[in-house]
Amino acid sequence: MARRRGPHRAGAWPWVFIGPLLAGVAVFYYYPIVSNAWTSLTQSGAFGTNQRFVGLDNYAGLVDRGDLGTAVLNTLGYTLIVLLGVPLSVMVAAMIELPGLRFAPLYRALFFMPYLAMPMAIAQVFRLVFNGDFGLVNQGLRALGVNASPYWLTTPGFALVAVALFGLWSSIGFNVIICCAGLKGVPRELYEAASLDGAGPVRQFWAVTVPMLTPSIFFLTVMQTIAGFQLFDALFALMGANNPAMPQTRSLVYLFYQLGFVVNDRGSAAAVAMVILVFVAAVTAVQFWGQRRWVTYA
Amino acid sequence: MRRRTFLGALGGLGLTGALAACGTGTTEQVTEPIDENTEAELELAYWDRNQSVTVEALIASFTEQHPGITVTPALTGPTDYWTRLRTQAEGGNLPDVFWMSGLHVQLYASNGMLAPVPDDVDFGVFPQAMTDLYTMDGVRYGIPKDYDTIACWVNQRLVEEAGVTLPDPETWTWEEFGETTRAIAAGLGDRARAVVTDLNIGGQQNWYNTVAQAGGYIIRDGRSGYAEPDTIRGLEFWSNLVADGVVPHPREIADNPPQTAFMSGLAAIHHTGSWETPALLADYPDPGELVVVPLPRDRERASTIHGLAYVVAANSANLSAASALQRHMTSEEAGRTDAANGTAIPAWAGTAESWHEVKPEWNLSVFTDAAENYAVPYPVSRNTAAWNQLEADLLTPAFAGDVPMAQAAEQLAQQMDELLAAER
Repeated sequence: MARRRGPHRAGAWPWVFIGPLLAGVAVFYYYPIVSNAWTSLTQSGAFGTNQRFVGLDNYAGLVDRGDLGTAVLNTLGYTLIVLLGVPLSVMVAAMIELPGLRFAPLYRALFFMPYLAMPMAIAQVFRLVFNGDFGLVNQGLRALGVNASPYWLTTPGFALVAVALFGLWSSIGFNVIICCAGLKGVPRELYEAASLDGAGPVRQFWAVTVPMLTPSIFFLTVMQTIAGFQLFDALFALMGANNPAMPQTRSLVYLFYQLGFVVNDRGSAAAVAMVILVFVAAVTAVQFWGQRRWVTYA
Repeated sequence: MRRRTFLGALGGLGLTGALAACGTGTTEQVTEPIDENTEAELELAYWDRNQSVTVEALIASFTEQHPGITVTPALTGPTDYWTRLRTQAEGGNLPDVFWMSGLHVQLYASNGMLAPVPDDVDFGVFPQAMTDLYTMDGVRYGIPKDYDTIACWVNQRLVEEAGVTLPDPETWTWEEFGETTRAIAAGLGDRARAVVTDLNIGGQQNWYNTVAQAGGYIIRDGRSGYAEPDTIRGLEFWSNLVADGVVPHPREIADNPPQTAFMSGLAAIHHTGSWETPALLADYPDPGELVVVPLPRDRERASTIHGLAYVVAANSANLSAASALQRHMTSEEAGRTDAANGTAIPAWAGTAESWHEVKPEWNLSVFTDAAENYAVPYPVSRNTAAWNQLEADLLTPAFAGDVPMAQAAEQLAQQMDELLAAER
């Protein structure tokens, strides 16, 4: 009996240790969520004055105007394209980690370097790359004989693809490093055994590398999905607020920014924020539930 | 400053809400005359680095007269300025005196953030449209500082190269403008654009002017004018020019801004405001080839006027001193300083002459002439930014020719009216 009471004797100590952290999380995360949920049910003046309860009016308004649907689709489209960077990174990492490859650390550094650069600075470069008249992409296309090359960043449709390609490119550095780290943990014996069984490099990649990397792949998928749902800076930096393609390219977070900070509609902005929160939470939950079927923890 | 920080802290407790409420609806401002013994600490916020010379010179002459008053200038970039100001307003911690634009004045005034201007300030020296811009429900909330109007900046070399002679710009009509610019476009081919103007950042530079010239309007008595046939004609002026290849497509404009195109000699005419003057003065490679001509007329002559004002925070801890500073920053002396530095056209009547002198051969008097004779006010309401966003979303596809203009304009009118109704 005396032994069973042991754990309870900790008393208040656990609270003392986690208390400060929990207080921070409560003040900076949970309180804003609750406060935002309340704001989404109200309408008020631009400075938060004359707040009044309006129920679900803000949500209904968003659905009516159709802005929300477009923003959800754009966010999903962007996220799916950026997620293509995960398989790409697995392949790159598998090649960098090939046994006996010379200059492997150099390649790792080269792939990781872009991750260190400021996104805003990279965006300025990509604006030049995608420029409709003088851009690198269109010059290349013209050299290939394509004369009807588009204004990438200012044409609806093309703009989302251009921004997503930028996002994909920017994510490779981080993804490759995580995959390389994951590959370091794969025992060499597995490859030797596979090789003895007659598996070639391609078969080894599919039968050993990919299954053993699934925890890293899962981690990256979750992280990139959440990052994709929070798309804002790439849109803002590449396209700018006065872009004619923006109405068809707005992401959920951009819509939130525009409602809250440009047109002074706090209630609707808060409603968009709630949609983003529920969206991210739901998709992440599905991913965690689904991982049991495909992630191998060695 | 201590006191203001304390007030800011009170804001967190919701006390400033009550203070701000006291400011709402007051038409009479309680200011006492100040003298050289008055002591106060004031903060003055503005957003244009180019004007720091003027701002600092005027602060110096103010504190010379009032040694007990300290004025701290706070410069924030033009984009962050409004985000910062809104946060400060929400926290009850606005600067004592600050720059205001017509676009935002009613938002701040209707929320009780601004102190009314004392009755003894003489507004007769300012352009009427500027006084009106800062008046809401009969109460004046800002003293005009400077203004800008719209005209055409012409690159005479390109016009000549296109083999075109401009008609008399004092009398030219839409029709002549169309013929001339189409001829310039044909003459220049791929070498340069005939006319550039930014159709993506709101109508001030372009369609607000042509709508007024056509006899239409943007907003009147709290209702949208976008569905009016004359307004639609003013909008179609631009979609027609885009269709004719005279004005670049909005997509192209977004990728290659008009300022850059004009500055690089890639556009013959820039349909825009007097605010381009300082940049052109500083950087235009061959200033001799530029000249300013008035906008063409249709049913009427029109040029949009807009400008800045100095306002005082309703909850300033030193209302009297702040009000005195506001007057000083908008005085005749201030106008002369602004003109001499060439930064903006001063609002004070008669002080603009020296502004013309910064480059006599450019014919800058076109801008002041517009202000005096045929200016139309910049359209605003309590939440201008909300329907500005609609304009951008709905009109751009119509300028591009993807949607019929009448359809876009009617949709805009309907949605704008909903927003205007919600403002009340």
